[in-house]
Formats: sequence, structure tokens, C-alpha cells
Amino acid sequence: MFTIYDDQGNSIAAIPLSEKQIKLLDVSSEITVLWHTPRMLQSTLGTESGHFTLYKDGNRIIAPDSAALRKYASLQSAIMAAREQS
Amino acid sequence: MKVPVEFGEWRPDVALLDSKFASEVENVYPGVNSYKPFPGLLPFGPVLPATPTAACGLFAARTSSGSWKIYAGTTTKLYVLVSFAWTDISSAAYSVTPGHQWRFAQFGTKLIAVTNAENPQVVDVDAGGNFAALGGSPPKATNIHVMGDFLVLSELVTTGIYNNRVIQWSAINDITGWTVGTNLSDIQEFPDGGAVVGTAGSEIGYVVQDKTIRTAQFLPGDTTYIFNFSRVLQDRGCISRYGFTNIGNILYFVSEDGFYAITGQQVVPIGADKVNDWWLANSEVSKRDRVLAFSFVDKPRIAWAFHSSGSSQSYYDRLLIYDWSNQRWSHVTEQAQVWAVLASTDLDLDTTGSEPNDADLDSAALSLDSFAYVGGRPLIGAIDESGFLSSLAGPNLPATMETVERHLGSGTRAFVSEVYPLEDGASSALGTIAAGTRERLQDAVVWNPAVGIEITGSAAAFSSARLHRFRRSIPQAATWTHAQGVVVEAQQDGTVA
Repeated sequence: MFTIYDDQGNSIAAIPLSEKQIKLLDVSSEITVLWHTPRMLQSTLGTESGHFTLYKDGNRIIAPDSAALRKYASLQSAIMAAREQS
Repeated sequence: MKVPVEFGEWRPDVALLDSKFASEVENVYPGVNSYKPFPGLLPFGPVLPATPTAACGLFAARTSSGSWKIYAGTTTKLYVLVSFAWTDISSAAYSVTPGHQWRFAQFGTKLIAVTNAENPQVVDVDAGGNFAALGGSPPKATNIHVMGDFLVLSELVTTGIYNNRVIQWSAINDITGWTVGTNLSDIQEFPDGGAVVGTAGSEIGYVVQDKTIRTAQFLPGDTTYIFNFSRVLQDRGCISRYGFTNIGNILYFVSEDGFYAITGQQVVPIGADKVNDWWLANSEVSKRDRVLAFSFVDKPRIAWAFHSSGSSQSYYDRLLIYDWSNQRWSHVTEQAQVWAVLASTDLDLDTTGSEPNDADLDSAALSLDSFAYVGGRPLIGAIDESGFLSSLAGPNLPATMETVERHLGSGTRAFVSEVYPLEDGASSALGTIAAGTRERLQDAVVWNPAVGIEITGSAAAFSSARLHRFRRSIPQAATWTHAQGVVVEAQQDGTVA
């Protein structure tokens, strides 16, 4: 899990990032993350999708659109909760 | 009276009397109007460590420079072939479940290997090194497939939300992204149709279950469903987790009642009234879940490797061959622990290795810019029963072709004086012809002693009966190209009492 900050330096959430995303953050200015409600949880969590961008500033990973990231982090928490119940 | 009797198409499942089909063809390829020789396995690499009982995976991966590397798996290790020696590149000591295999898929420069009892393993084909656990914590899986821009895992090991009816695909173009709901990675559980034994295809993908086949259609731009799954076939699926393969958008698989092909929504029972009953009678029922399908990359053929009825061996001992260009079948008796589509390795310029045609730099056998120095010629490879890396480049296997049973005379017995085989071949290995006879359909067939081909090109297969059939045997290592049938010299020989 990687802690993501807003551009004011405030911690927003901790989210999983893949090895490829980490490498891309290290070498490029910005990456885009797509997200969606998993197919099998749409009946309980609704159908949502979106995206947010990340970039790296020093050792910190920044999300300029903190609201979009919070939505994603909230969905991931709901997915984890649904998994534990299944 | 000369009576031509063609071998015809091998269709052991239909009534053969006086038909135009062949009753038996062994160790040959099916041609459009003939049968062709089938070469045996010839070792071209070293013995795999811990074999002959442990080989359970074989794969050829291509580097970015265009050369090929051959990988193999045993029940405890993963190896790469380097300078014609197997090098252990395992991340640990593995434990492959008996009856299971290592399955491989190449995604870019990464080679991923899965087997149900281990976490998915990955190695960089270009950089080399050892296998390591694939990042992103993907689930343990039995099968793996690259479908478009996704790596798809199937027959997942039951733990948490996973079971064998679930598939999971990676993030798009990211095999280390397995967070569900992120970058199009997701899972789908199929409530019916049994275990998902694997996935296949690309533009038209297939989810292969043991009792159902579904298509998987990627939905570009759709971030809600990603794939659309549609059932194509109900109550039939693939009985083996390795028993299917696709050529283009056509899926070929072995089902409980035989062999099928699916193109999109169209289902074709390719083995019905041809070889299904023969296969069910000649395959070991307890090992049908291990049947291994692979497609020939140099010819329009598919093979299913299986264990013959009653076989107690761990290795495959039979192949059923299907030529999808002429819809004809044949079968082959050849032993291998595992089969795979491989590629020839590069020849080097300055040594004479064990590879065929590997000439020295000083030799004029090959020009310096010969295409032969670039590897990658497709070949069918295997780990043979003794553990050697082999390919189908050996001497031709001993071939047997049998005509159908014929009434050579109309309502009478027939006397056969000679049989002339319609085939080419080297005179040094002519082989034999035997006549099988009986007077009534209710009698058992009696095979006369096999008779050699004489200098005339015929065999003096003297026999007298109402019903005749002929068995042509071509010895191992004989050189020939086509066998079409026989011409029988027959004459009326009285009526049947």
C-alpha cells in the first residue's frame, strides 16, 4: 500500500499500486489510474467508474484531484469488506 | 480383374463394409487423398533433470532480439536451456500436484508460469535470471492465457473469493496489476457450467468450462463490464484442463463425448461419426482429464496427446491427429511426458554442434547470410519418455494402414493372387501386406501371414474368401511420401456354399 498525498502535502489515502505503476511514476511525470466497481459487486455497491492521476514529487506520490482518489479508496474499502463477507 | 481399394478417410466409428473409408491408420499424417509418414521423436537436447518421471511443462519464448529460449518444468523445478544444458532457474523448490502441469504464457518480455499449487512465477526472457513470484499478489491458478491486452488466470485455487469457477484478468497491459476494480482488472465467477479449465482466443476469447463454453468479448472503452461473456455451448465443455487449443478464432476441444470446434457461435462436432467412439474405447478414462492439445504451427494440424486404455504410465503414449484443412484424422503411437510447440534454436557460425545442418564457418554447406542461422523454425517438441528434449525430426515411425472390408466378387468368393501397394518408397524397406479374410460377416477375421513386396512391386498375398481386407505395413525408418491404397488382382473363385 502506498500513501497518496494531495498537492498541499496532506495524506489522502493508502492505495495499492502495481510494480509497473511504481516504475512509471519513477520515470514519467504522471500516470492515470482507471477504476470501476467490480462486475460481481455492482449489484451491492452500484455501478461507478472514474479515473485519477498521480505523479511523484520527491518520495511522495501526489494526487491533484483528491476527491477522485478518495472515491477510489472508498470503493476499495468497500470491496475489501464485501470480500470478507463472501 | 484389378480392383483398386483406397485407404480412404479413417472413420472407425462408421459401418465400414464396402465403404470408401479406412478401418485403421497408425503412425501417419492424414492427407487429402493419401496418408503421409509420421516422424518419430529425435532428441536434440539434454535430459531434463529428475526425469523421466517428473517433466510437466515445456515452452518456447522469444526474446526481443528475435531468438528463442526453451523453458521446461518438472514437479519441483523450472529450467531454461542455455548452451544445450538445462539451468535451474527456480525461485524455490516447487510442488506440482500429480496430474497437473506448468502452464506458460509470454507477455512482452515476461514469461509467466502457473501451476495450481504455487504462486504464479515470472521471469524476464531478455534479462534472464531466476523466476520470482509475480507481483500484485495474483491468485494461484491452473491455467494462464494472454487475451488481448490482459493476462487471464483460470481454474483458480479455492481461497477467499476464489474458486475454480472464477477467472481473474490483470490490469490492462500490466501483468503486475491484480487489484480488482483498478485499470480494468476484474474477476468473474460463472455460477454454472462447472470448473473453468482455461481460457483461449484473443479477439474472440473463450472461457472453457468442463460443462460449458462461453465467448469472451472485450468491450473497448467500457469501464463497467470490461468483457461480455456469452454462452455458446451448454452441457458440453472440455474435460481436460489442457485439452483445448485455438487456431485463430476457432476453438478446438475434447468433450465428454468427443471432439468439437467452435467458431464464434457455431459448434461443429468434428469427431462425430469419425473418431469419437474409437477414442472413448481407446483412451484411459481415469486420465482423460490430462489430455493435452496442441496445434502444429507448420501444418494445418492439431494433436491431442492421451493415455491409451489401460495405461498405467505417467507419460502420454498416443496422439490423435486432426488435419483441419481436410477434416481428416489419424492416430500415432509415440511416448512423451509433455508436448509443446517449440522453435529451432539459432545455429552459430563457428562451431559444429549437435544441431542438424550446423556447418562450420569454413564449410560451403550454408552461405553466411543463410536464413538457417536465424532460429525460430517452428517444430513440435517434447520431453520424451526418457526425459530428453526432442522434436518430431526422427526416422519415420512404422506405419500401418488398413483398407475396409470388401466383397471383391459380386456374390461370390474371390481368389486374390497379388496386391500392389499404391505408394512410393525406398526399395530398401518395402514392408509387407497381409490379407484379412472371412466368409461371413458373422465370422472372425482371419489374418493371413504378412507377405513382403517383391521386385515386381506387388505382394503375393494369396487368399480366397468372400470378404477381404488388406493391411499395409511400412517399416520404421522407411522413406516414403504418400500411401493411397492397394490394387488387388482378384478373380471369381466359386460361390459360397
